[in-house]
Amino acid sequence: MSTMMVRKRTSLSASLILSLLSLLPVSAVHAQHRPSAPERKEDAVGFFRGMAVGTDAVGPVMRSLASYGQYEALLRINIKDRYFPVVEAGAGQADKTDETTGTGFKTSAPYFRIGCDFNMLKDKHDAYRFLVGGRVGYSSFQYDIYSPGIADPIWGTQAAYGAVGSKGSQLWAEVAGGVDAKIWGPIHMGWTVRYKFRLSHKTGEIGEPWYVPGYGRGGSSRLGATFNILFEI
Amino acid sequence: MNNQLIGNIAKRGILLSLLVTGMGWISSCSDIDCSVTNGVLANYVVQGDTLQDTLTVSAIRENRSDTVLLNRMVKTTKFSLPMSYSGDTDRLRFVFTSKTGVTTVDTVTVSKTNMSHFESVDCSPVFFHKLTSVTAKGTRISQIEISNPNVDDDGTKENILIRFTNP
Repeated sequence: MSTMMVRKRTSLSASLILSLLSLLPVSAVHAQHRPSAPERKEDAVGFFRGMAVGTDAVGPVMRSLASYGQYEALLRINIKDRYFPVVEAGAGQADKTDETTGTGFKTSAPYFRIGCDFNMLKDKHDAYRFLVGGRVGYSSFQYDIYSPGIADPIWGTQAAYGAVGSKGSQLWAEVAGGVDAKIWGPIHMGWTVRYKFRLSHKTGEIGEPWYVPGYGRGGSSRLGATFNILFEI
Repeated sequence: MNNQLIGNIAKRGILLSLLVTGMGWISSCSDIDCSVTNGVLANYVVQGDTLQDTLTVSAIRENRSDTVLLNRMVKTTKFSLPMSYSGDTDRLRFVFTSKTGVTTVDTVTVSKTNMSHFESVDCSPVFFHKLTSVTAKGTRISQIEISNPNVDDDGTKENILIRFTNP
């Protein structure tokens, strides 16, 4: 039994030594041919790697569930699998009446965004991409605010409230991060989460709009998300 | 089934769950932040000596009895009064009652324009106002003038400056 164990240990040690020895010449060869500066692999892929057209699935779902949302299409260029200039355009809509206050808000207008994403993955040719980038968006729109009228509790009169056709515009920036995955053939799907902040805006005399097409609910900053379905060629 | 296939299915599952979770998160996002909660009030600031009499202010209404806006205020240095939502002119009755029970009445007329103000569909509708003129009839108000014509949700504004005579 002990003889067998000693033999086993001997053979294990021998094989380990042999393995190390077999590595030595390779290391030595590598050491002999190691260049003074680290060798950089040339990226063989072309400058223009393709383009993708797609749409956002979150906006239409929001439009049906939350009484505001957008229908959006995008065009994305693939440069060396690293840089992805993108143009997004769509139509934003809101039609909301609050049950308690009776106040309503309505708008429908186009918008567009332009920007660029960067693939942060080390293996940029992978089917999965981790994209970080930014956008600048703009929309010029009209909005209506309506109400059945308000009873004045002190003077006892009925006051008309609201404004039709108030003009507004907004320029905003977005910082975006997300993933993009090749699902099947040319079909890609991916998420982006976006932090949006207002750069400049104009509103009607009545006050700020409840919803800005392409930006979302009003305010100086907000979070948003898209779920993109893309056809990449 | 190899590891790559399992990885792909897992990644797609994560994407799908993110989609469902994200949509739920987005649709559930709703915040109510109404800055105008205490109403829109015109701020009056008393100039000169503090009023020694008790002051009661009422709104004079068409085809209705007066309604009290400010009740028996003493040592008045400043006060705030609501404005009508849509009237071009508000008429206010200022009733002064001395310590001996003598009552005198002045009438203040405030002319203005009215603007609907919107914050959110969740917030109660409010009106802002722009004062165009203010006048007083009677013996106790010696001077009344517009200082800041914009009556809105900013409670720190001094809209009307008023000076009383103490008998």
